[in-house]
Amino acid sequence: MAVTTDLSERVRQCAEHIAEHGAAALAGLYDLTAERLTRLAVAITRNQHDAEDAVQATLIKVLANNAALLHSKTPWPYLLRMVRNEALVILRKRKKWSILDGLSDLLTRRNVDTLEQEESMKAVWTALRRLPTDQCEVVVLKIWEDMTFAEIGSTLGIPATTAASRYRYATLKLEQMLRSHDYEEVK
Amino acid sequence: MTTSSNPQNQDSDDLVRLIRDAGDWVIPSEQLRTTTLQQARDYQSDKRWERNAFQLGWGILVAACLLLPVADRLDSWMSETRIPNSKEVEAAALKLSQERHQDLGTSTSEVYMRIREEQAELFRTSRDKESN
Repeated sequence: MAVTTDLSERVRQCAEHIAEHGAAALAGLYDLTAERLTRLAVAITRNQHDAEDAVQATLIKVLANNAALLHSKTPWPYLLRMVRNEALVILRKRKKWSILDGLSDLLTRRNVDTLEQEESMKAVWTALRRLPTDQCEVVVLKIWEDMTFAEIGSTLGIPATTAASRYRYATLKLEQMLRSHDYEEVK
Repeated sequence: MTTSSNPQNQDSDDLVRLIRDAGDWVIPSEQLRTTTLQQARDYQSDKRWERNAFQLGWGILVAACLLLPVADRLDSWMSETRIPNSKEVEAAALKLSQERHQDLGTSTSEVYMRIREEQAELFRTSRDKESN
């Protein structure tokens, strides 16, 4: 909750800067939010290139009409909703056969200490990509954005109870997928 | 995150920690920042150009609306005060000479006389209008 409130306040400040200085001030919002927005979009589109397109389109829209973001009661969830909508539009346009099977599209940090850690990151991302989009986005907002189910509900336009049950189903599936991954590795 | 002695909760905490780490693992590409900011600048300059073109269009429209009555008045004044050219005078003189069976020189001077009278009448009426 505190994370969301703090980020919302900082996003609002960035939106105010954009209103005053235009495109030159967009860098501030980019630096503050791009990583978070990209990982949400990657989780939805299951492709890094499409995710980056969604983030770019979202930030240009913020520049074009930043009053909506500025006057939003919760600017950070509003921005997340914007990028989610863009990602869903891209996902709908994309041909089914173009969905990549592996994780070759992902750009990752190079500070992963061991090969084992990298393997577990890959296993989590593979498992996340196998989840239905509506469950995956709830997991992302709950764990990566530290949102409450009520906040997730208002961001996705669903009741908090639905968000909670989607999260429960998703974590069960993830647990099963990751266990079977470990089992296969041991084998 | 709360730590729990319950093994099931412990598993769940581990899973959450694993997913959280996986979230930090993925990063946007280096060129995304450059392309996004460049696109933003392009968008803004396009918008500025569009706004200027729109203002210019409106300016031309307003100027045309203001100039139209002036041009109309000028046109009517010019057609009223226009002196016929030599060809028109010749044609009028020829017609008059044929109607009255008189020589062309007399008809020409008559036509000139008529034009002068019409001009004098026009100036007289416009002067009277102005004085009233």
